[in-house]
Amino acid sequence: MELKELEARLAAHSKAIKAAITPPFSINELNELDERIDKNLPKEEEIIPMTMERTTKKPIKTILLAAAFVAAMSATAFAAYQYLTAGEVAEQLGDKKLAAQLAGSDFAPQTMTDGPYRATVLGVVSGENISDFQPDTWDVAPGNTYAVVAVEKTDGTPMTFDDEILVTPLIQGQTPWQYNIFTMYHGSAQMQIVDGVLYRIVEFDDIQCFADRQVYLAVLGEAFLDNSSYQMDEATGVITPKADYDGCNILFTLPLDPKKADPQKAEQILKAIDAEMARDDGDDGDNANHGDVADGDISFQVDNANMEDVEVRAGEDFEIDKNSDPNEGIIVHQKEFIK
Amino acid sequence: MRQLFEQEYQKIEKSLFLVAVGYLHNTENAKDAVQEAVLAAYRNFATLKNQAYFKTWLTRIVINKCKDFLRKEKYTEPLTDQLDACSHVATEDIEILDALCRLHREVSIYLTLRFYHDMTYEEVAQMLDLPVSTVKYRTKNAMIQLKNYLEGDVS
Repeated sequence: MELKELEARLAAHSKAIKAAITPPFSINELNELDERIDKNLPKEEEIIPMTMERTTKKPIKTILLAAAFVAAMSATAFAAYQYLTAGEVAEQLGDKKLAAQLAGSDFAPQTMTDGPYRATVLGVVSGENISDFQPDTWDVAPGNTYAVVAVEKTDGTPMTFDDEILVTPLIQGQTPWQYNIFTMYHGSAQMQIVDGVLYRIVEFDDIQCFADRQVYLAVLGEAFLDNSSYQMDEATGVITPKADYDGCNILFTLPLDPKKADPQKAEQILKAIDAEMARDDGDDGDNANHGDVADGDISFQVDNANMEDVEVRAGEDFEIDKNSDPNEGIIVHQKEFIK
Repeated sequence: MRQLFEQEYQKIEKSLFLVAVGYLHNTENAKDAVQEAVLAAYRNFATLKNQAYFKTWLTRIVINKCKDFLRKEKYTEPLTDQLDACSHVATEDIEILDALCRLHREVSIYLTLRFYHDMTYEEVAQMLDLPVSTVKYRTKNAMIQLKNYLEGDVS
């Protein structure tokens, strides 16, 4: 069975199964919620609960109110009282192993404010097998780094899932929009909102091997990272937020142990990222649109790149379609499949 | 506000359920996950600034609820038996859904969002916080894995 045939089969299957099944429940079951609002009953305290378990713990709001009456303290220290701790965030997400690691860490929370958002790095830990969660099926990293970040709005209104927040590591010497959590070989993120504060646990490849250079943690007020938010000094590789960026583009420095630096491993990781980016598939499976290409060949589209960069990365096994428009994606064919 | 929410929800209620089934491999848990997600979303519907993002917004909440369920529930009953109980689904369609559910959920999500939920690659990329090119590559890879199951190459 060719993939095109499977695609058609899946499209037909989707129509058929949606026609055959009944909706899982009636929306009239929302009546219960309307009554609650009509009677001015308080809402349930969690917008999206981190766990489904009901506990007898003191509600978060009570803890926050108590913290508000504490004597004046530094901005950084106050931030630590305002939020869940890094360990509590992991605990809420059901990752006891990671929670223990974070609780035992001596990382001091750091807070920065830019535009509409205030971001606090609550904790950073690195190591092998320090999380209860299964690794991503696409690849297994030998060691991982986890960063826990809290984000709130400076105007005091609650965060929602409509607020696009990106948390990503950046590496000195590597162009930000090319080397980040999206392009790194392995990375994932979880997020929840509690009492109007967004918490993210971000997991990425062990970046300790890059400890011989500056490693940053960027918090950006949008979902995708391009070249408008951060810049890199070509001479030094130092990355800084662009001053003319309209929005939140915060940059923390991640403290890493220089003894863990491994330049050889770092180079391997960067080469693997290059290979993955060159291999990414960009078309909709209709290879006939891209010139004389044999059935079943592998053609890819590389987005957000220039022709020169793609030629360098593609190497000898790939042929670049020089007629493709970089603004719409550069088409790359595997040579062995070209007629 | 309720009427608008109902209107938007009813356009995608079946595909949301199928996305949850694809994630949880269990129709009862999928129903519960969607129901809880819908209630949570309704509470916060007023905070959604742009109605155009309703589908992506609600789908994200559903997937988060599915992840909550995975932390406490186990798959107990063959999916094919569950489907027989709640619908009149043709055998071939049950086979395809069953094969989809045999894929790792982080693989099948690319197919359920694209084919059940009718999302474009760009919408899936936004949902999953990934580049479009990565979504296209992984979708193709997921289809190859599904093809192998359907052709009996993988047990």
